[in-house]
Amino acid sequence: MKEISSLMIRYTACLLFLWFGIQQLTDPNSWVVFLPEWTGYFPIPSEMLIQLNGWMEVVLALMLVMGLYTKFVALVLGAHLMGIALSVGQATGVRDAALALFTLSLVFSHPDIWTIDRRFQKTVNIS
Amino acid sequence: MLKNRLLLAVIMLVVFITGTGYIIYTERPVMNTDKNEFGNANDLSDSTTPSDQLFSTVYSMTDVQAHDLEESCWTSINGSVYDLSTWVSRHPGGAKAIISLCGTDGSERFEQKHGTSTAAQTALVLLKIGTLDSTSIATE
Repeated sequence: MKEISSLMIRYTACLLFLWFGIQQLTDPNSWVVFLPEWTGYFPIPSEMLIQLNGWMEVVLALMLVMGLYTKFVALVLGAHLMGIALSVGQATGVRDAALALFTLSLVFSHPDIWTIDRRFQKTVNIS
Repeated sequence: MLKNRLLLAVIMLVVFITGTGYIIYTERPVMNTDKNEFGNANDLSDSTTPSDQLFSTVYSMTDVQAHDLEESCWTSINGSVYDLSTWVSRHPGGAKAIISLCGTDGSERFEQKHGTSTAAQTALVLLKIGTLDSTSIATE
């Protein structure tokens, strides 16, 4: 049961970041309003910033679904989402903070048996 | 197995870097040759140099006033005309401040708010589309 709950958390977090990442890649204009004010002075267009953020989320979500460096990836995604939550604030910020903590829970649990990390661990134990 | 895991991580890193490069390349700021002051940069039949063409597009105050919407927002500041349409949602001080400038001469308000700000001046330069016909102001 523990393995399944860990798997569910991993796949759900992956779905979450994949969906948001793809949305940011395909329709960056809708996400520009969520950028913090200070990014307005970045030397790159807001749309590009959104797309780069979306691409990072997609790649990390794919690593999460494979279970590749799960803890590290979960830490990066969780911390990233926590940053967004603190920046956005209000009700949306509370929801994002909860999702960030949900993702960060993967950092403190052992990778489930379907991860590449766990397969690697097994090989080490056998040898 | 360690090698396989590292190999996968390296592959993902390469994919990430390639994708990042692609986004930067495709989304890089390019001049809108349809309406900016350079005209068609590929048209070499024109003997004038780009510097001659620079700021050659002159707009009247009536042209500026015709673009008074958030979606098509022009303003004139200190004799230059700017298309702020893409800046509305990006303005660090909020969209309202920019929307209030659409279709008007924003020289006074810009000076009051950003008179000495290098960042604001730099942002403004990228949005310039031409110069304002000074005689059109007198006739307004």
